Amino acid sequence: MGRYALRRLLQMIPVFFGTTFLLYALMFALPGNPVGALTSGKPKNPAYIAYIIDQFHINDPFIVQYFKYLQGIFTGDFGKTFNGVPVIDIFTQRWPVTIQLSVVAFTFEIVIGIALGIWAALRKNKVVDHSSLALTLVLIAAPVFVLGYVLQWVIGVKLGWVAPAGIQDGFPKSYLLPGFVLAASSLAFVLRLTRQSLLEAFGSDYVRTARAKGLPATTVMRKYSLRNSLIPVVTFLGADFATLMGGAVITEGIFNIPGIGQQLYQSIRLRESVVVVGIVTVLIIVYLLFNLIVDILYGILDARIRYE
Amino acid sequence: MSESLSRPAPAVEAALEGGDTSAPRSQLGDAWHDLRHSALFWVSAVIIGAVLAIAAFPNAFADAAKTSALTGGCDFADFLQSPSEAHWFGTDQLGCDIYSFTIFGARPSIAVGLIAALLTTVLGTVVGVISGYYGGIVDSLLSRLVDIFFGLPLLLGGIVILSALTFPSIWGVVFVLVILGWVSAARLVRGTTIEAKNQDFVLAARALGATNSRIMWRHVLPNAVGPSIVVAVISLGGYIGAEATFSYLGLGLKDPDFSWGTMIAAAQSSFFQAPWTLLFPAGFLTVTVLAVILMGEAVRDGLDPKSRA
Repeated sequence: MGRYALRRLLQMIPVFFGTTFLLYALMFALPGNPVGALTSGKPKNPAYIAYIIDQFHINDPFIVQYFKYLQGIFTGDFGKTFNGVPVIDIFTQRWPVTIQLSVVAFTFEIVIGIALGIWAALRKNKVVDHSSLALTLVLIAAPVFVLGYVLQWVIGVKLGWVAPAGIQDGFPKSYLLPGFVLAASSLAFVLRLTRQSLLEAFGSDYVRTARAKGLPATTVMRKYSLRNSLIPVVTFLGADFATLMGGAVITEGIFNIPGIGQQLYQSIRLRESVVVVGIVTVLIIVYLLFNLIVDILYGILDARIRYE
Repeated sequence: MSESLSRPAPAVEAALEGGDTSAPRSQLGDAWHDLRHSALFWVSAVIIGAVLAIAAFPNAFADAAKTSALTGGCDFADFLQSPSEAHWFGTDQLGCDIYSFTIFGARPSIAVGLIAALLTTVLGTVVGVISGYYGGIVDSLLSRLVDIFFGLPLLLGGIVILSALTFPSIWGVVFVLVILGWVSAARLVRGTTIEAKNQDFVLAARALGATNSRIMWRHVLPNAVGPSIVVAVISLGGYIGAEATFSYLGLGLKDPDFSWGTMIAAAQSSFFQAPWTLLFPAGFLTVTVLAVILMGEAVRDGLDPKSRA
């Protein structure tokens, strides 16, 4: 197990350098003059240009620039914004908000998605099954901002159950509606995946054997069907947590939640490349780490998967 | 090579192909036979057909002059009117007719989806077959490359690329979707290729002296066609939604081009007073994506021999 985790960690290294290099190259190399890209839309003060040249090691060869940037990231130095605020300060302010939002969304995804998935599988081809499948299709097909605005209008404005925007009601109340919107499409996938793999398990030999032995239905469900069907669900959930944080760029914008996603959106508008690359790099590291955790969780859930 | 491709397969080889070509119906013919009886397929086909017709011939449904203030299409005095006989879908904050905009906004939305789905499938299939068939160092290199692109989430990668580079009209979004989307097709095709390349019909073809390219084209590729089509159709729905998302973020289409996504973005500020400004383009977008996803599921069921009785 330890050796397997180590090997996966080693395999992650080229992926990490590949993705971050790609990002860095896109942001700083391609548009031609990096000083221009970093000061676009702003008056070009010579002192600021000198600062940028120093900050981004522009007089070094490109590959050296990239490694110096990475070195900065690992020592917590993500550079500074146009206003001279260190990016790391923005991070400490905004990440907790996004993490709270993602946790609420993740909880919705797990609780509603898996519970409805089990219910639909148990009542295959009944009303519950058909209506939950129809619901998932709508949740998957409607882009998140459409769903966001419609729910904000109906629940926040017309019904007035929760404040339509902002976080003045604190955690978790303010995060419920945006959390649901953020979770919506993933929730639908979790529901379908749970239903699908449970149905497969119900038809399998080991479940039939367990039933034939006379085990109580709840034991068969808990120890046999569910345990095996959760493997694909866990895979999806693991990869999805980081995606949720990325998806927050839209949800936080709609519901005016001062998290990292809103910051990313504002920085895109202002073309603050330093902040954009910093945020996206962190998100990608989180994404890669969660994928690793999922791979290791496999072995705990499925005894058939062995790590050599 | 092209000569051997166009030449009809020798009877022996055809018989060894595991019934793929010697069967009375081809794989696609078989799927079609199933699909004809699926209600889901027909419903989605009708919706997709209607949307394609709108995208191809918008002039038959609305007047192009109404989609620009320059041609007198927008009257500011009419701003934010609710749906009426004169303006079926109401008007937006500039007094423009939302119906005309929705009709003419279909083409860019659909075009992005179709072009991206086609290019990702072709690129992914080529890389997947080469990677799976040759194995070894070629496979290792290509697989690492796939891993790298797989590590970039579509939304975030797209945000970075589109805020760094500027493209004309729809091509920015197409570029992003192709660059970040081809990897799923490549992984899938690599898998089916590895599965197929050790099967008896491939070994038999090789024993008969078939070249590598012939084996890949005639024996390995047909196995990947079914799953590739399914992935292409389902991802088409995702790509149409993705175009709207990028345009919503202000990174997709730019003025004077418009799509359903840019209309939704513009409707943000007026949504609470005038919900129709958002609901009509959003409704068209959602129904289209829904129809494409349903079509993908129907095709998957038709192509998957395991689901057949």
